[in-house]
Amino acid sequence: MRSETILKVDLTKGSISKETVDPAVLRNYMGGKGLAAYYLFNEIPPRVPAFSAENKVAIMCGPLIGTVAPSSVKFCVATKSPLTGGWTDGYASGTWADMLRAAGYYGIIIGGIAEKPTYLYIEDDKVELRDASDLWGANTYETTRLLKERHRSDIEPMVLTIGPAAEKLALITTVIAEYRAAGRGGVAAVLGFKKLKAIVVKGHKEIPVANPEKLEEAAKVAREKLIKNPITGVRGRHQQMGTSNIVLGVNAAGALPTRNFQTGVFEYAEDISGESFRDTLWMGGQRRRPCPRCINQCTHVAIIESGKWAGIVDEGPDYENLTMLGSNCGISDKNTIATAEFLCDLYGLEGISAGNTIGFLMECFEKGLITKEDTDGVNLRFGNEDALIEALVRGGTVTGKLGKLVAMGVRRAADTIGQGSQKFAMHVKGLEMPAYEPRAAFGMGLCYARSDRGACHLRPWTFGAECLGLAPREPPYLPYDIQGKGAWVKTLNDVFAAVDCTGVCLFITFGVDAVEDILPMVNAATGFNYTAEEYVKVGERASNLTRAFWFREVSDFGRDYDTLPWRCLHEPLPSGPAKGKTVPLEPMLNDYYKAAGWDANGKPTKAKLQELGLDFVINKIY
Amino acid sequence: MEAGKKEVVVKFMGFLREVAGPEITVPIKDNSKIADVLQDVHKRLEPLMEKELLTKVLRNSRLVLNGVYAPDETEINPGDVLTIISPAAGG
Ligand code: SF4
Repeated sequence: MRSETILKVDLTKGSISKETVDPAVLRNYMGGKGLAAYYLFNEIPPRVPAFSAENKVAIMCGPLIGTVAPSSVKFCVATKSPLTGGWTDGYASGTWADMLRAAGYYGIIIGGIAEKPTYLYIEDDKVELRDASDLWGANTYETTRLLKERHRSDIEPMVLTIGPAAEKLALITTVIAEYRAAGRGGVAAVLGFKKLKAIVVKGHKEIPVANPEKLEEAAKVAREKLIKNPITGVRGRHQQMGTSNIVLGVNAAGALPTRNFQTGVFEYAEDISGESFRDTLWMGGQRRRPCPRCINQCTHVAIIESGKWAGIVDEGPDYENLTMLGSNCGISDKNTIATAEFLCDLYGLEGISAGNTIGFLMECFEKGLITKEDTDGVNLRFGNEDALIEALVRGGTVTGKLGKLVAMGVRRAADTIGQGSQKFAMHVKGLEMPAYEPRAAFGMGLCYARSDRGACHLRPWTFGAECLGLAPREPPYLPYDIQGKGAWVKTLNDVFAAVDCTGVCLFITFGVDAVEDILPMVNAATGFNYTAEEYVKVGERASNLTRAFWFREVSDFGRDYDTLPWRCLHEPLPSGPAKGKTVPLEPMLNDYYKAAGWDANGKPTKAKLQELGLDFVINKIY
Repeated sequence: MEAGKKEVVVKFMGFLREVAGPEITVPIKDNSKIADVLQDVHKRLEPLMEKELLTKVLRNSRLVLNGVYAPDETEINPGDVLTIISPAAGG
């Protein structure tokens, strides 16, 4: 029977142990999201503060990471979120997880608090905690460079780090692994609290695969489909423009968050479109820095050659950051947006939450709810490029009043400012809303409302089907359909969650079938011979476990938490095809709960938990 | 678009923008519907891409007439702007 090894790190004791994952657990939870949920549900004691020695962080691979499967790079980082108080998990691509597996490890569970700044050094069987006092305060690029220099040998070490923002416990922080961001909900701040600055990995081992020939066969089928697809293929939309290829379509659908979601139509959308980035900062789409084994190649490198931000070089911006730091803050200058994203990466701020929170503060400023007194003199108006940059610098260093407001995220900022600003604080369960206006795509509203980490655009992503021509023009796929949305979103949720257990990048599902094409690769890699139903159940199981985590951690958790910002429910959109719309959430939520086997309060029923083999959860939430 | 001519503007977002450019003008007859314009677009783009893919793309694209979603049977008049939001995918 297949097995995998994980590392368990206790920073308080300074101890590290290796544990073999029980094969039955491995089959049921597979990896990534599922296995992270299994370990954290069982190992974090109920109701401990997110900032505590008892809270843990899980870093988890899936079975396809590092194999020949296309885009087999995406690993999971999860914890109890200090931003929301509930579950959070996020995914990073790039090269870091390949190396972790090459060192012989499937995951790392980190608990305790170190006495002083520390980093974890992994080189095959050698695993040590080392002093990071000299790195504390360094930005993510500097930390990565220093650790690479220190540990470079026959192979390049891979570095995962937190930035200065997380050291100062900013709640909207993310981990940066080989220049790629992982995680929303303040996962990096938990590491900052634990004083774990970085994880350096070097590995020389072969990554275990149950049936290499079968895996190559299945991967070939997937690759061929990806290559032919106009979005994922050679010179396809991702290779040209990355995820930002959708800006103009989203704007035409009236769903491009603009000036803190006051409308979904940005008058300068052309200026910040993927097409415009491609033709300027991305040099015709030639400046790519793709993940290994990826055909989509969505990642572009922006080089700013002139103007006040000249000299800045950074990956991105992707669609989410581009929009939240761009139109959502009223910014139409590409150089400013690319610089803003660079600063997020540098300080370890999470771009969606940063753009959302700053957009909110700009609206507060324009409405007179805050003044220059509250912003340390910054003229925080929509469209003010310098103000955006200043807000990020201060947020990233948690400096002054403005820095603190940015770093606390939108829910707490609204609670601090008060005066009714909560009505336009755009978050769900405390997690800032990403770059799709739900009044223009009701399915996205349902996704945000009940996703297991708060407002998330990928659990699942219905926008392409609703508004971007990825599904037929018929119910339930039309943007304002209500009937049928609940069951559809539920099915997609479980499938996407299953993909998040495998280690492949979700973006390949634009070119291959998430079950039909990915499952044969999973089976070849694991030898588990999942049926399609069992495979999707892995995703459903993971989603029910994270749901149960919320019920266990938050005493009054339930339906009232599965909601949307007041603005989305009560303030009709003023322009675009969705003019006049608000989100009719309740009927969709009813349908979702029914399809999910949850009760009217959104709690997984005992029968559903038993069906999924989650019996151990029952007495924790009933 | 020339004044007096019975034409509509068709704008493309997403995949078809690569194929057809940002916009074209399409002549229409009296009582034309969006479906007729789509047929015309299909004919014009056929030489530029695989027919089967084009059919699928047009079947799935979202249609916005003068800023409002409209079904295929909607009447279309000279001077109208039809935006075809064709496949694109992000995250
Ligand atoms: S699609 Fe983008 S993020 Fe995903 S593996 Fe490829 S380059 Fe990386």
